[in-house]
Amino acid sequence: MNGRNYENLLQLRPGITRYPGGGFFHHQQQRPRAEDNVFLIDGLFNSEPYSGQNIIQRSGIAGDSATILPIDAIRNLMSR
Amino acid sequence: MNPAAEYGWKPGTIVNVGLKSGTNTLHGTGYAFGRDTPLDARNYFNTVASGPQESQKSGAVRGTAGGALVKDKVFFFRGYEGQRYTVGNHLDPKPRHGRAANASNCTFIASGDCTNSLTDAIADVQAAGINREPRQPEDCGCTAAGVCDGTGFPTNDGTNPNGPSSIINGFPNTVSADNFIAKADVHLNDRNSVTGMYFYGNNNGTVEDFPELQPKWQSLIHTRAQVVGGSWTFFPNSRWVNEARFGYNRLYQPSLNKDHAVDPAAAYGLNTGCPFLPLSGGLPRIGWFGEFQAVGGFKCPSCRVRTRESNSSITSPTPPESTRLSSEAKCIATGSAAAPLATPEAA
Repeated sequence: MNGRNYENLLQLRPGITRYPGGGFFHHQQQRPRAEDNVFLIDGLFNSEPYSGQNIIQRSGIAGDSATILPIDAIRNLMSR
Repeated sequence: MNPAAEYGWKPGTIVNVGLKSGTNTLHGTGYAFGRDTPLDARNYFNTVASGPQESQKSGAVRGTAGGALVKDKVFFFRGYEGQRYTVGNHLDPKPRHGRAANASNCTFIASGDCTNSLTDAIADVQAAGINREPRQPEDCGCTAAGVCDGTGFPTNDGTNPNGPSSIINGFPNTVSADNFIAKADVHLNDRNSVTGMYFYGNNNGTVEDFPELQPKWQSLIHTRAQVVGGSWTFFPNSRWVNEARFGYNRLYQPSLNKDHAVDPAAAYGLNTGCPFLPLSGGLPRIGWFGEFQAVGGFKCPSCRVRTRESNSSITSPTPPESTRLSSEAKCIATGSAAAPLATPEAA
């Protein structure tokens, strides 16, 4: 998994695109804008409204994640 | 597509990450990764003729552990991931737009090469009525000791892996990141369980996000993310389940120039016209990217995103997902460069 970043798994789903290398506003699914995404951690709200990205798996301004959720701490990942 | 009730109100992708919990037996993972410059090939553009090989050092350590504090009742889980890396940048200063080196391309002076010569560019700016005095020795290709390299470009202080006389700059990005996560689960009884988690992520780095010619114009990046939350799961009977979740998170992500605490008027003789503040000082960046870019180019003095959020949601799904009720309360506050800059948050 590139960068040990679980977000790289999301683009395996149809319709999801991710700007190479990450950064703000990098994750989109078809029509909605990046700010419309919802990131949750154990069901808790984990979105940052300015960049439309995670807080825990926080994007750098123009790069991959600045803060990292250890992937060994992840039980499951759901996207819809 | 409208989101399901328990997923809030936004119409985009829903990404939910479930964290591991501890179990009755102690389990854990460990991982380490290392990579060093001698083990790596050169960057394609970082030829032998261009100078020493640029740094490609990185390392990561990760570990998790989970278990029970009280068997069948209280469980814990911990995780850590740390990263350290120093990665060189290689930026090619060839002139663009078809301009030949040494062509006369200044605006206010009759002759000169403002595309390639900072000295000519400064003279051009001064001819326009903008005086930048006293000129600093490093502004014209000379070191503080008075040794000039003849390029007319600023020199760096020797930390450039390409050598102090090169205009092919390649200051490395040096970054560290430490991330911790902790989670606790309490199984009160067969109808009630409570869980809580806390995440702390801290990232610091000195990076070249623009082809700066001197290391003092590099960027200081910092990200600190903290999330604390918990949930209470209640089974009033075999048909209903209610989960109440509460969370609070906070994010601080400024970007500063390395000499941001330097008064440009006192240190560089440059009156920027703005009052000096510790987070917005420093010399406006002088950079090179194929052509001379600017004296007084932009450098966001302090891009701050500070977010505090809290939310709670109550979800009552009934198997097989026929009825779901949810309520959510959220409070979001953000700060930006428009906020007072003289009150930085403690790093």
